[in-house]
Amino acid sequence: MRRYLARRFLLLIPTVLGVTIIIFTAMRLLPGDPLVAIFGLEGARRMTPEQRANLEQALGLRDPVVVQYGKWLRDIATGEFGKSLLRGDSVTQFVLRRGPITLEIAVLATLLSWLVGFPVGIISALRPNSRVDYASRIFSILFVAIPGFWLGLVVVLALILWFDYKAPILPVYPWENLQKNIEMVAGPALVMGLGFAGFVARMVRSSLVEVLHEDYVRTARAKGLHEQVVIVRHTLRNAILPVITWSSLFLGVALGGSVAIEKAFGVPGLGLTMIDAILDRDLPVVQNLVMLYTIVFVVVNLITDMSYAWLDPRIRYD
Amino acid sequence: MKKPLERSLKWSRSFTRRYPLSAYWGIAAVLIILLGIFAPLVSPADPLKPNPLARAQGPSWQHWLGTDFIGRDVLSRIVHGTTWSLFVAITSVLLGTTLGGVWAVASAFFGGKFDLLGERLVEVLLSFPPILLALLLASALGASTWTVILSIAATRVAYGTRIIRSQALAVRDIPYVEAARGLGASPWRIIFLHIAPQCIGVYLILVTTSLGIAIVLEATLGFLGAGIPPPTPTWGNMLGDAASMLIPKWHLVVFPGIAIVITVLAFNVFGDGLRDALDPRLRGTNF
Repeated sequence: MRRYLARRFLLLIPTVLGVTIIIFTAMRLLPGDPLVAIFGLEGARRMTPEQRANLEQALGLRDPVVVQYGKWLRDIATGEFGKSLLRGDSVTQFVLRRGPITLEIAVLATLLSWLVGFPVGIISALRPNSRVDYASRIFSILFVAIPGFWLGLVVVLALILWFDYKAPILPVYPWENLQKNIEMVAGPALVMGLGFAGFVARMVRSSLVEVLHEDYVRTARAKGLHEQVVIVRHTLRNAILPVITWSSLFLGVALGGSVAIEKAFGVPGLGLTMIDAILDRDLPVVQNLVMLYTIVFVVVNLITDMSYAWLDPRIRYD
Repeated sequence: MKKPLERSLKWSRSFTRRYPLSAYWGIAAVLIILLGIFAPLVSPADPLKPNPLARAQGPSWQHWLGTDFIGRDVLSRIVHGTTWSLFVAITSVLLGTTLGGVWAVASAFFGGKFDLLGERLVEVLLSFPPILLALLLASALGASTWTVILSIAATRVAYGTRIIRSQALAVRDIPYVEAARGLGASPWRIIFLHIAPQCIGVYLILVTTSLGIAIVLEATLGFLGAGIPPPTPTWGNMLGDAASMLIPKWHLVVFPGIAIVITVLAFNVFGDGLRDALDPRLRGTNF
């Protein structure tokens, strides 16, 4: 186990380096002039070539590409994530201010997916090919197919038409005003959670059906154990554990999914910051935010893999 | 040429018997593709022609699904959107999965440093949430149909490589491949005649189950304003337009979304059946 861990951590280094190269290249390719992003079209046009040269010098845009890349690597290694070109806030401030909202949405969505997905999947697996089974399979197929951001748009539309809903402008944290905070994150969490619930129900069903055919379940039944004991103690435990581990991946998926869903609801989370920064060509924000997202994504994936290996001794990666 | 046709007919008949739901949705998928191909013949009006006298109208006999903010017919835009959304989804999935598959077969066969390098590349690509990678690439390359296709294809390569590589690795060690090598067959002959054909089943499954994902990715890019530039009608663009208005109209939000959901359902359910029929071990490997 320890050797496996060490190997995984070592292999993380080339992966993260590769990620930085992709992000950096994409940033250099982004069409648009950073000075236009800061000063607007008029401001950039009225600049004398000398002013322009000075500003570009100050922003480090005149350095050779390799030097720029090296500087960026040094910055992220020392936790210096740069400043927004437009607003002057640092990316760290963005993350601290808006990250909690996105994290809250992701965690609530995952909890909801368990709350809905487990019962649906379990009932479905215990009575295969019954009406309940068909109903729950239709549920999971449907919610896997519905794009979260569209469901979000429909919910927002209904809220606007019937409840005079207005999208929040500033983030409200649970420790400030719990009710307002829930109002803000409930929609995105619900929409995202139902999508995940479809996946969970499917996983639970197939995993449970598989375990129900194991020899030790037949043995337990043959011993004359009560059906309830067989299901709860022998089957559910073995079937559910992998699904819980697997669904930690949702935290990473939620980061990507939240971009469109937060946009649909207009919730001021990190996803909305990301898409706004991309549309505004706010390069330092995009560059460092994407970097942070991938770091979280990679770490979540790594933890999931490791917990598989830890929980199931049969799995050994060499 | 009679035999393969007969065989495939027989196969589809037994597929329909064993997976009726998947077969029906498969037919639906074919119908949707036909709709995309013959869109100009089916669509009731010009999808690009604005009508200032009929702006943002709800459904009526003249415009079955209503009109948008500059008076274009929504039904016609959805029908033409089918062409674009399917074209983007199918091309990008074929491109990404094929690239990943060829790379996977080659890297399984040659092994060594080539394989190690490939695996690292796959890991780099898998470090991004798919929509973020597509969004980043689509904005970096600039908005056009082909950049959108390339961006979505890039998110598919890693899945193609991963899954097809494990299949190719298994096939490589089957004795008949060793026999071919013993007879002095060239590496390319072994790859194309002995290993690749065994990977086609996995490849087909991967392609069909990825189509739904690609359609949603395209729609998301369009909605976020990083997709195919207007006025081209795609389902995502229509949703993006509808959402950018202060007071959205229900029919502009609901109908393009229903088109997406039906299409994704068709490809997903058909793909699930295909996977169960061809290779049930692949369950839950793609999302």
